[in-house]
Amino acid sequence: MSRQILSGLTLWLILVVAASGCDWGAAQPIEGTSTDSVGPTMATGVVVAVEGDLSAISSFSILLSDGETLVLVPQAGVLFDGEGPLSHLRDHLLSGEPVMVEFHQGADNLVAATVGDGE
Amino acid sequence: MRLVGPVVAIVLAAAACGGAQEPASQHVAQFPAESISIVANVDIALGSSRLLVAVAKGDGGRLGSPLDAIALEVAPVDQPELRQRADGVFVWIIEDSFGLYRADFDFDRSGIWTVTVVPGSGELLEPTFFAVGEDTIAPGVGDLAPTVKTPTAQSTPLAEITTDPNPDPRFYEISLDEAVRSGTTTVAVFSTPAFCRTATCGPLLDQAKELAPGYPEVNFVHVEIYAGFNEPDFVPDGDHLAPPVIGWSLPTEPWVFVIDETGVVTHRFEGILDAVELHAALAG
Repeated sequence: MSRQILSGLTLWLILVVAASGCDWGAAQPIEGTSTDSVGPTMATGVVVAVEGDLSAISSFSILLSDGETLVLVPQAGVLFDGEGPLSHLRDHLLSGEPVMVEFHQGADNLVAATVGDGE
Repeated sequence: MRLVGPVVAIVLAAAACGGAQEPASQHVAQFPAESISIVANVDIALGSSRLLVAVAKGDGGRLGSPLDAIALEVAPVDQPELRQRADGVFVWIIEDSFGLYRADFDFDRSGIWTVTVVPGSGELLEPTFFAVGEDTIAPGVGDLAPTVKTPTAQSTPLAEITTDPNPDPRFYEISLDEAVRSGTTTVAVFSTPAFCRTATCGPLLDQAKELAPGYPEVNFVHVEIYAGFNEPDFVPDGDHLAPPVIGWSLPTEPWVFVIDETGVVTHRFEGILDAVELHAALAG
């Protein structure tokens, strides 16, 4: 019985968290980007600037198809496509091949949680 | 990048319509109004420096080709009257697919500069800002090359030295520090082929491998960017930079350096390599 109550409470908590998660999508939908109902914002664009060095990329900018530019700060520990060096962004700066970024609104800037090839 | 093919095709078709007597070298480049320019290299400092500039459509698709003659104008942002102009030389990154323009400038003051792409006709592109440092981050032309040991095939299996899937053993015959002190010209290639997904940095090492047989008297040394890449918990981050990369203070990769017989850096190429440049460097 208590296990059933716990399960119910857990389910309720999950629903509450999921529902409030809709509000946590603090990054406003941006033209040229796509969002799901609860998650962070996804954007695909071409890299137009990369700040930092091989030790750490401090920020990078992507140009969206509608002409808007996003300046993003990578979340700590982010790798390119989950396994490559984030400095690989410079190769995309050279080549113009698009990248796909999952990001959210941080306290002072847009924070990139994942970065990978755009196609 | 996907747009380059059609653009080149249109350019070629237009050139054909313009009359066969017009040499390709006199093609007049004209880019769409929303085109932008992107400075693609970082380590630019006082003195002669190479500037890499990509031209892109508003959506980032790359423009330009060897047929699209342009000029590049640079100037300190606060003194635009001190502008310098040079022809942009188009360099394919991937042959017949995409590339960018390079030009050498003599920067006489540090700070923020602008570069403007000047097509043969039509509107100039909006200026793009870039920084010129007091000194280079990586060794500059005229600097003594740092002497840092690198593993060689004599003592280490090639698979533990390089991530190149088709390594040329010649690039792992001599340690970089020994090469620099050998009294012979050295070409040092810093790159990490396995972590180059877009094949932008892979060609640089491949180009050097193709050129190497023409220079049997030159030391060619490939240096990996990361150490421990065969270890199971390896992560390609700042904590795993190889000692030579730290010793050479590389801010980016890939790089090619040419070091003369006295151990002095004579040429440096960040990001991409035009075979013509390396030939000229080794011939000089």
